[in-house]
Amino acid sequence: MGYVAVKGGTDAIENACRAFQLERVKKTSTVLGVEQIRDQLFFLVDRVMGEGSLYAPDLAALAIRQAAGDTLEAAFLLRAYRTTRPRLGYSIPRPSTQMRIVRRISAAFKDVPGGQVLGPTNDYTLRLLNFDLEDSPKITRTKLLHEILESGGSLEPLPDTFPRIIDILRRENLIATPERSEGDGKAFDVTRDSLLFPAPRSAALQAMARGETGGLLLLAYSNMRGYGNIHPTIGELRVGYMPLCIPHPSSGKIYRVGEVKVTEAEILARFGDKTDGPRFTVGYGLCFGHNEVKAISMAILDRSIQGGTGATPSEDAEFVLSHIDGIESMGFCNHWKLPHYVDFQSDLDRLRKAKEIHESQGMDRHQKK
Amino acid sequence: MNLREWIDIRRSNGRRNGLDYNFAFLDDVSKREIRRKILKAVAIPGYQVPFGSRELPIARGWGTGGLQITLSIVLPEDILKVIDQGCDGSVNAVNIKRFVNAVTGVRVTTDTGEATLVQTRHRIPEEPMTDRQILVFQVPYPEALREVEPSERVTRRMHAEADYSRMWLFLYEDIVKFDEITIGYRYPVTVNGRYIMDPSPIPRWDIPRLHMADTLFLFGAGREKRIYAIPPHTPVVPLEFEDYRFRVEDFKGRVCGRCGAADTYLDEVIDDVSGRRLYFCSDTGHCDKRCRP
Amino acid sequence: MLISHGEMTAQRTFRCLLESMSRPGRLRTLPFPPGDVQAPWAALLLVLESLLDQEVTFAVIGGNGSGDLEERIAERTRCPVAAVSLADYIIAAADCGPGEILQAKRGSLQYPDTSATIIFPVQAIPSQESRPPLIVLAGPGIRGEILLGPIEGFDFPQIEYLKALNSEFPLGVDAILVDGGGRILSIPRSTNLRVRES
Repeated sequence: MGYVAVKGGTDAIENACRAFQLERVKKTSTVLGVEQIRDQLFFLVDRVMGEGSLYAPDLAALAIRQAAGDTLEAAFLLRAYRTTRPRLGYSIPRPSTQMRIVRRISAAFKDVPGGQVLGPTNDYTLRLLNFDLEDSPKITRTKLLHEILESGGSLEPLPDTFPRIIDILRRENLIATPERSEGDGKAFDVTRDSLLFPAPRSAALQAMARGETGGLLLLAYSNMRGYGNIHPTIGELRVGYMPLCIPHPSSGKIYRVGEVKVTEAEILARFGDKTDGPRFTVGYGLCFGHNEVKAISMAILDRSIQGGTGATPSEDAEFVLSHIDGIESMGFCNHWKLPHYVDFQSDLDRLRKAKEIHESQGMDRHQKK
Repeated sequence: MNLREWIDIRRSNGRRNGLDYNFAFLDDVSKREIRRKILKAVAIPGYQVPFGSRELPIARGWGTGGLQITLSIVLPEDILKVIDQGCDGSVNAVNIKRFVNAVTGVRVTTDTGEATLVQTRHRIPEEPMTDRQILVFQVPYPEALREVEPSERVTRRMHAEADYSRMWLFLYEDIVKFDEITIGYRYPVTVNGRYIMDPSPIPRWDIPRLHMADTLFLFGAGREKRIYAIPPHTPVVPLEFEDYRFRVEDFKGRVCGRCGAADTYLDEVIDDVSGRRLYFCSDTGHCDKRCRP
Repeated sequence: MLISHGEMTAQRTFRCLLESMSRPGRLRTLPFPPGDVQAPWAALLLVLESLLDQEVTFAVIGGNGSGDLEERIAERTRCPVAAVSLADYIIAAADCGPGEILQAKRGSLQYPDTSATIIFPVQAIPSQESRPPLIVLAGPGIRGEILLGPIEGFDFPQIEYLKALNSEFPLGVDAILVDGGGRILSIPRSTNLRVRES
């Protein structure tokens, strides 16, 4: 075998990249179109946009195809692309009462003003694997629309706006006033500044909005199971389109330039003794696209890191916020595959030395007997 | 507008691959922030400066910190060497070289003497570096105290108060258990008599090279978002006890099987035919030079 | 790749600043675009452009001779102005009041890097060998000692104020001297600074 050739490195890497691309196209199936991914794998696209921190469904679909479906890689592609984009300005925050509702439910009350709008959800489906391979799209679309429209019940138009359950409860003095964080009300920017602890709430929410769904779920689940005491009730879960509004650069007049699909969750936590008199506290979650598990988990974690003692992982802000970024965790996990032989050599040296000492001490003891 | 139209418009504007790069990839705002932080790091030797580490097309954990420093200081006339574990041809080094070359056009080299800027993962080149050169280290764990304390809030306080007792206790416990300090790479050092610093996973062999050097050393941790520095002519002392001194690795008189060097850090390689051990210089550029007639 | 001229100048200027801060007390010459050297405040603005933007703040003390300095800096860098005690970058002109720089923020023990950087525009920094050597620098970045002659615009009281600001390492400020001829010299807080009796 002998010495490792220094010059082989570049060729090997280039072939590895080609081999990866070949994996995706080597079989005879039709190449996936970006539109197909965007339109039909919409939960996947929404998840990648959220974790990639870039609202761009077409680009997310492109990334998913390029990454052969690896969500961490696809999100990484979007993040890296995002870095190259110049920052043109900032949109103006809008209350979620302006959301164009697609879905809106509350678990806190049986019925709520505006109604329980179930929207498109697979929550109530039976998880029976469907073996219909081919279903002509035209037939399915027409058939389903026909069934929806012909089914019983009135077809009232949705109200233009739905009052927020939290606002109703707040008017009844049942919600604790949120602690105003220090600073001038300017949101922190985790893409520009390093997150330091204690972190302002805007920084925590941003980090979670960009966080990896599985990681957030894991930590929220630990809290639900008892490593924490939030005992959440979903006050409101909304999925819909928020208007994107920006000020004109010269006149300052506000223009609506589009809309962004988001999922918003507000949870009510059991009242504790930290609030001013007994009141519910609120946890808030918001992310790009339709991703309910992420928004709910985020809301639970928002509450647990704000109110927690740090006794459990989900109540420790530093623990939660340091470990939920999928791009960071994936990158570091993968980095262990890089050569570490020099580091290992150093460890080998230490181990051998320690063994020598151990053995010589063993021999001393043996001789003394 | 659909995706195809958007891409076509960008192409016709002369943008290569739909992207337009600044020199060295990073935008001006990012560069300025990194520059400001680098200057503070140099002014406070061994102290970790937090910075808003940007995402790059190379994954976190694969050198984005070192890369951001390199990209913020590189000039077109620089000659760049990139090594990983001492080797110029290793996967990580080649990828980083490709990227920097693509976004700056700088010339690359495997010759330490010729380079003006060296980016390294886990080794310091064997040849002494000069005051015309800058060495940029890729750092996975910027916090030397992480071994004894997982919380950043606590370690920051420890550095603030120079309260390093737990680190010393950790070393003492090693000695009690093994009669030796068993830390191999990432051996903690005290910089300028004040901050305990993690020198990155370089072997102990390389630690003496940090002390009172002619070269500026810059350390970048992209994922953890910290920059730190050792200016030239700065005392850098490994933590040790009077009766348990710092020691470099012991190669027991072995020499490189390729160039015969007896004074370099050696990679141990298992010959898959005979099963015996072979030893070669970890610094391949240096080994190459010694082999040339 | 699109490279703007201004971008390259900023990158070169920073490299010069980096070399300067790493080797305190050594003179460096800024990379001037051709034809710019004679413009007033040109060297100072070159340094500020490579570092300042909307993410930080600055303050000017003194400089009453050219009253529009603050405006020019704000225009070129789009950096917002702040009070001296809050500013990240302080430009301390030669005619600033005695002890005014003492208001500069020195950072905290947990985050000493959040302190100010003070930039002193001076007339001319004398080269190393001028007589009599009166300022002695030692510490990180310096082999042995560096001796400097008196610098017009950075007088002995100012040196004492700088020493006072930096008396509790790691708290302190970092100083950059910029002369009209486009040369710079840095004194980070890690530098041991003293005035030698002649």
